[in-house]
Amino acid sequence: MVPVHIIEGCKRTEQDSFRDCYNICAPYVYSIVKQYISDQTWRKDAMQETFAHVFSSIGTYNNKLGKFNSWLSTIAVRQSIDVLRKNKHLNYIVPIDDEYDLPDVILPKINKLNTEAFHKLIYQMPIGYKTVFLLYFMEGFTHGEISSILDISTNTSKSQLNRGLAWLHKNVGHKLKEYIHG
Amino acid sequence: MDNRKKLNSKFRNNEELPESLQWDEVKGGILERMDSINSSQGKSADRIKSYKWSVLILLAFLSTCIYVSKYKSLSLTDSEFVSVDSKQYPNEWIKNTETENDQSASDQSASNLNVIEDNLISKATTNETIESIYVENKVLADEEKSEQAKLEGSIIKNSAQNRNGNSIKMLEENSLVVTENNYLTNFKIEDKSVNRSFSVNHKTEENNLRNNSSADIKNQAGVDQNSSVVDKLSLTIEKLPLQACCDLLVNNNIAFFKEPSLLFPIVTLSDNPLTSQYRIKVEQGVGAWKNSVFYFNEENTELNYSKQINLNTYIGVVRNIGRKWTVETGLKYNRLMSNISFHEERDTIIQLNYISKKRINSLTGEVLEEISTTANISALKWTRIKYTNTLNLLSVPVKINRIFPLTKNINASIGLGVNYGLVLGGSGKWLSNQVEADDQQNVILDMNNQLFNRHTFSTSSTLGLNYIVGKNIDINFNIQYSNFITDISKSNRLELKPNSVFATIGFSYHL
Repeated sequence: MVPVHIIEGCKRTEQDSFRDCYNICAPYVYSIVKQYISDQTWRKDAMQETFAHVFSSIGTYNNKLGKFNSWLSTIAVRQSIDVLRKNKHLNYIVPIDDEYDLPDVILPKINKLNTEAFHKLIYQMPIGYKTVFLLYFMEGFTHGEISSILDISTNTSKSQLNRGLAWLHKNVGHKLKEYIHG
Repeated sequence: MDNRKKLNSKFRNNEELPESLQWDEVKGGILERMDSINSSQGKSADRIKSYKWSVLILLAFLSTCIYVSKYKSLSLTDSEFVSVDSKQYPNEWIKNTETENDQSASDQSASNLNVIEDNLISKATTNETIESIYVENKVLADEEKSEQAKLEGSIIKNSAQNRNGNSIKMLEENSLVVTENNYLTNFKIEDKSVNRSFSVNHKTEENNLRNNSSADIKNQAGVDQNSSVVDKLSLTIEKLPLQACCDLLVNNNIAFFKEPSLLFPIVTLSDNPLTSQYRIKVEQGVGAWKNSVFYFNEENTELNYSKQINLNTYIGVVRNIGRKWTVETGLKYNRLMSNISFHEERDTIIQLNYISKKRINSLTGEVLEEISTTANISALKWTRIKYTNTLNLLSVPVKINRIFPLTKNINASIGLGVNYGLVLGGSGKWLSNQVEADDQQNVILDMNNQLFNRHTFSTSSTLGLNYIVGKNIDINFNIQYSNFITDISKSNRLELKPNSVFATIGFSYHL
């Protein structure tokens, strides 16, 4: 949680407040960025873009409307996706699949993973599946919101999620023992 | 949904930052990016502000047009008296102004006729020296007296200018205001030697002008009935029943009409002569522009400009001032565009293949095998970069034009004016030098609104042709040259005073 006086200092564009805010928030932002972006250089770009946008528009932040971390994570997710898009790693030209009824099967298995194993799994996941999966399950966006963020159709979002779940089902199922903590 | 929350809470924990993401490492990048975000936000805010200004100016302009149009309509109906410019007004307007006063005019006619006769008789029978003669004109109106005074002043001036000896006083420019069937002329004969003056009002009807006016005056004022001068007057008035004038000659204390001349050429104009002085003008122009200096370093031969195009749209109001002069103002939207290209230093990755290992026969020295390795090397590359720079201006020109009639339907014109310009915004790139200590380096900067002065002034000169198509519509073709006298750029390193030559074509509509 970022202290109010630091947020107020950022609104006054004080360099020390920028630094303090970054030092407090960067680990959390990095945890988001890291899940979306595999490449370390792009992660740095995403971090810079995120904080540049946060500091530029912090004047519009109102703590009565939501938590600072929620606002921060929204910006971080969008900037991460922008970085992916700029580097042309987000291509969604896929046919519509039949829906799988996989979430109830997969997610309990994933929850059994430790953080390191989860990150390894996510790291290996194809980027298109991963982005939709993270947006849907980690950020809690609906398919309508995801379609808006990624500039894809709702059906494509659903399709990507199903394919991602299928991929996870296959990989978690085979290597679960390897990933399970302890 | 529970699974989703579990995922988020379990796997969304703070991560330890790598060294490359510490504040000191990313600070520069974040602040630089913030500048660019702020400038783009400022650009959109400035754009909104510019649009607001544009709308306000446009509304003010339209309001002025509506007001002028409305005011002129009211003038025709509310005011009986109309300032007479003989060369502008048609016969038709008189119908509008005289109707209500027709009866009073007729009543006054008889008395006026008596007055002029009495005074002329009186004057003719005295031996006093007449110093000057004033001829006053007026129309029948409620504001008769005030207008009479006004016209009198004007004629006194003419009289003084045209004095010709003591015995003969000649007034060359008198205006005779004529209603459709009636003349009302006020002659004022002033005798300065005895500090006396005679005011003579003469009103007569067109149909019996010769009988009532000329003949009576001749007879009773003692003018020789065989005088050719008087005959000329009668004939002239007969030919020009609505618009004519005369000079008055006094010789030996006797008033003569001398050599009537036509001061009001009969001109057929539109039904609404007053508002016809105004025209709405719409023009579209295209041309070339050139800024005198756009970059800091003239030695930089790598900098090229091409396709410097000026597009503009103009809507304005033109008002006639006299027969050969017009003034005009309006709103002009200018879009200046140019392609700019220069070399830019850019980071690039070069793949380099090199022989990293060789297997050599130690006995013979023969190279048995070469192992090559590929390495990615970061390097600087010179790249030719092209940008399109644009500059949007909204200007308000104020211009005076001299008209030169060429044929019946074609006029030429020369115009000079000044323009106030509001810079709406610009975009593109420009090259600047950042001089820091001994290091001089070219830097490519974004053109944004903060780079420009908002308010500018320029001069313009115009050569034009005007083709009269119909009663209310003209087609205009102009060649214009515009030169900025103030610097558009705020930067000390960038001077931007565009010169522009462009052709415009459009039409004007007589209100």
